[in-house]
Amino acid sequence: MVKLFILSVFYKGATEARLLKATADLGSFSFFQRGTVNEFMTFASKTIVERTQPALRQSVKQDAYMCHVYVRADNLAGVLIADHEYPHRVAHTLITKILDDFSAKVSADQWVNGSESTIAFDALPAFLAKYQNPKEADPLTKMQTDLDETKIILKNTIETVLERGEKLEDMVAKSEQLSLASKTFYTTAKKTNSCCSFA
Amino acid sequence: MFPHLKSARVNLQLLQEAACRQLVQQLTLIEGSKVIVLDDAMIGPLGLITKPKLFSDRGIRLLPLKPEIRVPKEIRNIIYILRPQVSLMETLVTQVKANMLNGRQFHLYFVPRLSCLCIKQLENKDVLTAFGRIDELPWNFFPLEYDVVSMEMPHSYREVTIEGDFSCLFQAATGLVQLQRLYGRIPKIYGKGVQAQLVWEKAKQLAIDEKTLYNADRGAIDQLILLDRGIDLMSTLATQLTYEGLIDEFYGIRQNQLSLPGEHFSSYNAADMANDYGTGVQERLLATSDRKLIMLHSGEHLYSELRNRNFNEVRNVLARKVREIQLHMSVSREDQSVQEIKVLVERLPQLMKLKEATSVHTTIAELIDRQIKVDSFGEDLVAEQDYMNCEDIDRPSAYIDDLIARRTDLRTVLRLICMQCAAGSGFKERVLTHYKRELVHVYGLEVLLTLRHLEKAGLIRLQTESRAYAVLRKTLRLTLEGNPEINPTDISYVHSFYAPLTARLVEHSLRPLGWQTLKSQITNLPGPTFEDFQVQLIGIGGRHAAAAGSKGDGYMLHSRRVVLVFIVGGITFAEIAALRFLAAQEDNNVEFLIASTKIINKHTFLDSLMSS
Repeated sequence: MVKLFILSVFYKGATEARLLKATADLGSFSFFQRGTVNEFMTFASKTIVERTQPALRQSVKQDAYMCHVYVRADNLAGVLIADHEYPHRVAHTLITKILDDFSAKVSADQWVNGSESTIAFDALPAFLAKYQNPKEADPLTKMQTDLDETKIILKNTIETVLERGEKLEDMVAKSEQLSLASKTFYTTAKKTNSCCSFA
Repeated sequence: MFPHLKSARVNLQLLQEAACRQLVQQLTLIEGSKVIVLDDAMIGPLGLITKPKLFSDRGIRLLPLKPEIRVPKEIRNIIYILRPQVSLMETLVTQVKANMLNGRQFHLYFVPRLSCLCIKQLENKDVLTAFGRIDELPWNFFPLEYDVVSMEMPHSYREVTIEGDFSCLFQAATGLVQLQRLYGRIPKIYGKGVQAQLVWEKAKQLAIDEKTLYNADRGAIDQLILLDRGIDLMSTLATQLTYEGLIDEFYGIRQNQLSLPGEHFSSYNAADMANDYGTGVQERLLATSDRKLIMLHSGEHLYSELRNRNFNEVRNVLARKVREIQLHMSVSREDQSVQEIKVLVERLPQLMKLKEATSVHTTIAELIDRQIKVDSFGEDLVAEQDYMNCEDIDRPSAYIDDLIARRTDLRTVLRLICMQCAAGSGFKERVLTHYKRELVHVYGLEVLLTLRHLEKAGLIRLQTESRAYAVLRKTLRLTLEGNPEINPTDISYVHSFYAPLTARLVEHSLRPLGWQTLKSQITNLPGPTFEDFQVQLIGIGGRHAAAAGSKGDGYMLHSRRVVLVFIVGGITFAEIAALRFLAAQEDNNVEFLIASTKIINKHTFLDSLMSS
């Protein structure tokens, strides 16, 4: 069951990472746990950004979760915490996409000193919700699944067509029998007896 | 219309199209609604010239010639296309009288030539006035394959030797002139045999009027070899062992079509079966629902691979093909990329066609195998082979005596007797008397009449001094030990160890010296040996024209020669296979165009001679 939990944008400063924007979908946790989980995940995200070099992508396993992080060369970073089954490629595609979006909407000078309240970027929750289902959200995965389905249908159709006419097994049996039954029409052996006959 | 007729030098589609044009020309001369009635002998040949589409496009129905046929009232013209046989006139008269209507016209076309006798018969029966057009369709040669033409005259050998009717030889000569008109003059002619010489003399005579022939440039055909069936009767009587030969002997191939009971074949969808050629004239007129009609010509790739091979080789080829198909089909089950699937889908129609063809031929091969396994087949074959090896031929054969005593089918007995006769180049008198006595005892006095026919035809005779067959067997290597049936190196594979004499003669003519080396032995065969030239007439240009002509002929040596081999009296599929084998050998540098009065086999040949 694929699941995304937290999607956040950080700025990797010289000493520490600043959280610029975040969104979370913690509906799978019980009400009382949510606060703790949120804190924990934010902390994990922050740490991982600090530990990741610029222009690098990583996917780190953390207990039951997978943290996908991408730190751009300009020190803008995105973190996505998901479960183990979520396809890595889709995760990183999502991160790249929101970072592109973010850098387009929010000017670079706000990154260094911004915080959650000062940055105006509302697209995150929508993205998180959309990408809960990787197959639908990611056009590439969607195409791949469609393609796989089509291939199976195609193969079945081809098989049906090939089955038409005489059954292959029958033909194989018949032709095997034919080739085994071969016996030369002209046997030279009998000619050797001719010396014994009286002309 | 018939793509399988196209080939390199001699394009037989021209022949088919010319014939088709003649028919259309005649049809357009007749106004109003029409119906065409064909006699049985013409149904097949017509299918070789046209497709039913030609008629359906013009709203013309095709009907077989039967006395009880009634033509619907709206049809204003009834066209008959018949062979010029007086016996057909009876049925014709009955039909005309029954279908006589005011305003209705009858038309009659003889193939290939008008017959005054037939017209006189119509006059005698007072129906001549009902006929509008009476004309001929000069179709002498029908194209069967890109390298085979046939006159479709099954009884020509009988007519000449037994009935003394030489008209088919005249037709053969006319046909030769027609071919030269289409494909150019033939510069060099070799021939052997009485009938062959008669045909050639007549053809020369007819061509005298054709000035265009002599002035034309070198044509597509370089040489003509004319052979009389009578010089090699052994090859017609021997059991053929090629795939096509066996099919013909057991089931009969009519103008490239084979009809078999439908139950042997897996049920199929009519839509699946639609081959590129659609249905033919024969199918429209003769098909019944419980029989399957199979097209057998080079248009089907698998058939052209199988037809000329020895049957034992065919077994292996079929097994290999089935395995190939299995491989292709199993490939589809693995995991594949879209590209691979695309390639597979593109190949699919071809694969399906191959599967269908392989299925049909495996079934046919199975049927033949069953026939071969019958004891009598094997025993007859052993007896045949003994005769062909000249074993024990100067005494009455115990095997034949046994067959007679058992009252076996007369045709089988007579075939073996004729083979023994051919092997010994005649019987010793006491042997012949012995056989005659035994035959009469068992089959009755009527058999003497049949024997008389065979004697007239030259199949049964007394020995003279020359033992032509025995001598030629050694000098021409007619029987050859050790030639494998699979991947053979010599034409003798067509009868597993015996090479047809006619094919050996052709093989020798391809050598640089031609028949020179055989001069002494060849004279042993009945009939004259002749050579002839048709040179280009020197026009006013004088020397230059002659020089140009000879230079043109000189080119023959470098490119492939085209040799027209015409066996007057019939040819077997085995002989055709042997000739094709020769053509396939690079060293020979030759292409054959094979012609005959009819493609025969041991059964049809004997039946024609035995019937009264």
